[in-house]
Amino acid sequence: MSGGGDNDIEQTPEEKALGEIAVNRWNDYQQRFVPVENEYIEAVQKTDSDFSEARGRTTSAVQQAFAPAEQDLSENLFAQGITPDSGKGVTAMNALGQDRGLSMGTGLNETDVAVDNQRLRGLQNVVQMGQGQAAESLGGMGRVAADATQDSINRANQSYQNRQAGLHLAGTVAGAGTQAYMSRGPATQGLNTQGQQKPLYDNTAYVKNL
Amino acid sequence: MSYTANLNTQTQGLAMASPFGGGNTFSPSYNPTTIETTETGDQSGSENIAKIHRAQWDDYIARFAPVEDMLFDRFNDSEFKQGAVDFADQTMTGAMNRSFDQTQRGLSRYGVTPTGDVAEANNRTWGLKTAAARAGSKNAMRTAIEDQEMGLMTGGLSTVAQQREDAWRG
Repeated sequence: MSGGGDNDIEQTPEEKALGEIAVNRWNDYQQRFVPVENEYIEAVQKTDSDFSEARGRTTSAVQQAFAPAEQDLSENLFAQGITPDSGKGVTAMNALGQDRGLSMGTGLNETDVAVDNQRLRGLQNVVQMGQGQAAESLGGMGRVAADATQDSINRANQSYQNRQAGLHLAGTVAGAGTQAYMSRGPATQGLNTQGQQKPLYDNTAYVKNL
Repeated sequence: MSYTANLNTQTQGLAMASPFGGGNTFSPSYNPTTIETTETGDQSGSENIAKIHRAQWDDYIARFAPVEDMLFDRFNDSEFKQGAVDFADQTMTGAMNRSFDQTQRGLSRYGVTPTGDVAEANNRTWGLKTAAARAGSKNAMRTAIEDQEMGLMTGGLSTVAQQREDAWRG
């Protein structure tokens, strides 16, 4: 005790020990954990190249998914005696191309949002780390690519099935409403009017998920 | 009549840059703030704890507050959403245009160059599908960014608000 008016009661040995241990734990955290935390803080901040890389994966996934669908469609056209230069053949190939374009554009936009969401989730984790809260583990970039690839495969298959359905129904379904209006044209009405199996871009549920 | 790739001329000029990525990044420098332990004195326990509180605050300001600022900047960036919507439109338009070209190349491999009514009808459907796809992509991106904004307020930034409240309560 020193000086007048100092009424502090001496802390117990236990309290003093706890204070010392707390300091040691802090120093240990600073030396062992902070470098790792700093790496994490840098890693979650996505750069241009992260977005470009993810877009590249999506592009090749869509192309790879649609290539066999295109091949199968042209082979089936031949098998059914529909030549590529006929109105039906041209329309079917163009319709598949439209599905591919839609799938590509949708996939790329979804990829941008997915990578950006990862960035924001990462930054939020850092904020929580700053408050001593546990950080959620990130899904990782691989998950984004896997999702885009699977989506492309599904869409390519769906597109092929729609085109096939259209060929079988050619000239037999009159159709009505928006679907017919969107598809109408001298040589397209029979092919694209597909009853319940609508092409992707006229499928309400699909467009809603774009 | 042959096909013409005139689905959209809006993006024929300079392509706009992606609003995603490319922002400011923050690199925390490793500067461990170790503390000298007070080993003597009646109040050494409290003094050591007080040192830790000060060091924690300094550490928070140096390494975590800049990251919070990044989230606030995104939330307050009124131009980001429109930029993302425009970029989604550009992406979709480009994808449809490229697929159109790719399809015509595929047909030409069979020696097919559609003319007349067939060419006209296909040009029309490409135009309609592209218009529908562009509108859909813009709506979807607008929704996605609005979801992000809501997520920021109910996610990371909400814990910042909680932290402030806790600090006031002591």
